[in-house]
Amino acid sequence: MPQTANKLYIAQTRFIFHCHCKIKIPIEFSDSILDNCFDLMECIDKQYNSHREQSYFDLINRHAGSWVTVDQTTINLIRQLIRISEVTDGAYDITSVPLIRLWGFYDQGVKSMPSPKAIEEALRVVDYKKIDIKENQVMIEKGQEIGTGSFLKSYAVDKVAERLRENGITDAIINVGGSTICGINDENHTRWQVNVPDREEPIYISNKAFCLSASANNFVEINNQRFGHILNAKTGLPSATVQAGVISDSAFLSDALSTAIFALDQKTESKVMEKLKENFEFTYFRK
Amino acid sequence: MKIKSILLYIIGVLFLFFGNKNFWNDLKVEKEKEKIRQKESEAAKINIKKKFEVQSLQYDSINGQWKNPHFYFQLINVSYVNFSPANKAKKTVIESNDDENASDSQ
Repeated sequence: MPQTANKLYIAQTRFIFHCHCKIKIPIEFSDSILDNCFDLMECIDKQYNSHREQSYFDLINRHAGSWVTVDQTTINLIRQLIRISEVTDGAYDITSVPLIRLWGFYDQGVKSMPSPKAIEEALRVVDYKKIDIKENQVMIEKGQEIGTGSFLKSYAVDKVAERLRENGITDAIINVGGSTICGINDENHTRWQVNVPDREEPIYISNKAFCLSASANNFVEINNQRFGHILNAKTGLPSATVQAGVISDSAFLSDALSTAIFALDQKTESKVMEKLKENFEFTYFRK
Repeated sequence: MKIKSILLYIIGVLFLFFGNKNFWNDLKVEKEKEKIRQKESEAAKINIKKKFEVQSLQYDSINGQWKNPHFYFQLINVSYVNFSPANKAKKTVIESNDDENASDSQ
C-alpha cells in the first residue's frame, strides 16, 4: 500500500457548532481555501443551527403550531431525517429535544431522575410523524422542538468535503468535535487512521466519513449514577450502549445512524439493524 | 460752607465703606479662600513633580553620544492591533501525521 511518508499539511482549527472543527489539506494549497471552508461552516451554523436565533430550525421551533417558510435545504434535511426515524422505528427522533431538556443535558442543572410521569409527558410531544411538510413550509405541533445537534455539523462536513474536492484537493481530513471525521484520499495517501478511545484497533477511512456516538464524556450524573446524553426517543430513557461508530459515504448519514444505533435497546436492536442495512449502505460497531 | 459740604461728603463715603460690616467679612473670607487655593495649587505642583523621575544623562565623549544609565521605557507605536476574539483567529499550523483522534466530547 503506497503511503507518502512525512507528507506536510496545513491545518486550521476553529470553534463552530459548539466544538472544535479542524480542516487539514496538503501544504501546497493556499490557506484561503481553509478560510473559505470555515466561512461555509459558519454560514451553515448560522442558517440552520436550532440554537441560533433566526435560523430556519429556530423559527420552526419558535412558531410551533404554525406553518414556517423555509429553504429547500431544510426540507431535504428534514425528509432524510424522517426516513431514518421511520427505519429505526422512532428510536432516533429529531423532535426529542424536550426529553433531552428533561434529563438536563442542556443546562446540567438536573440533580434527580425525571419521574416516569414527566418522561411520559415529554414523550407525548416527541414524535417525528407530527412534522408536517407542505411545499416549502414546515410545521411542528405546539410543544414540539427540533434539535439539530445530531446531524447539522455532519451536514456541514459533507459540504466542506464537496468544497475541497471542487478546489482540486484529493487528500484531506475534516474533524469536527472528534465525533465526525471525514477523510478524502487519493492513490498517494490511500487512507486516514482514526484512533477511537477505548478501542484497541484504530479505524481506517478512505473517502468515507466516520461518526462516533459515545457516553464517556457527555453525560449527566444523578445520584452518583451516570446517564449518557443519547436517549431512546421511544422509551425516553438513556441508552446502555457505551459506543457506536458508523462509517459511510456521507458524514450526515454516519452521524444520524451512529446516534440511532447508539440509542437502540436490546429488544429492538436486531430487527432495526436489519432494516437499516436494507435501506442504507454503512458499516458499524456497537458495544 | 463749601468745606463743610466736602467734609460731610467724605464722612459719608467713609461710612459707606467702613460702616458695611458684611462687606469686610466677605472680603476676609475671600482672602482666606485665596490663600487656601494658593496652598493647594503649590501642593499639586509638588505632587506632579514627584510623579516624574528625573534621569540625568551622561555624555560619552569618545563616541560623542548622550547616554542614559537608568532603566527607561520608550513609547513604541505598534500601529493597528487586532483585538478580535481568539476563536476568530486564523492560525494555520503545519502537520505531518496521518491519523486523527476521535472522541465523544461533542
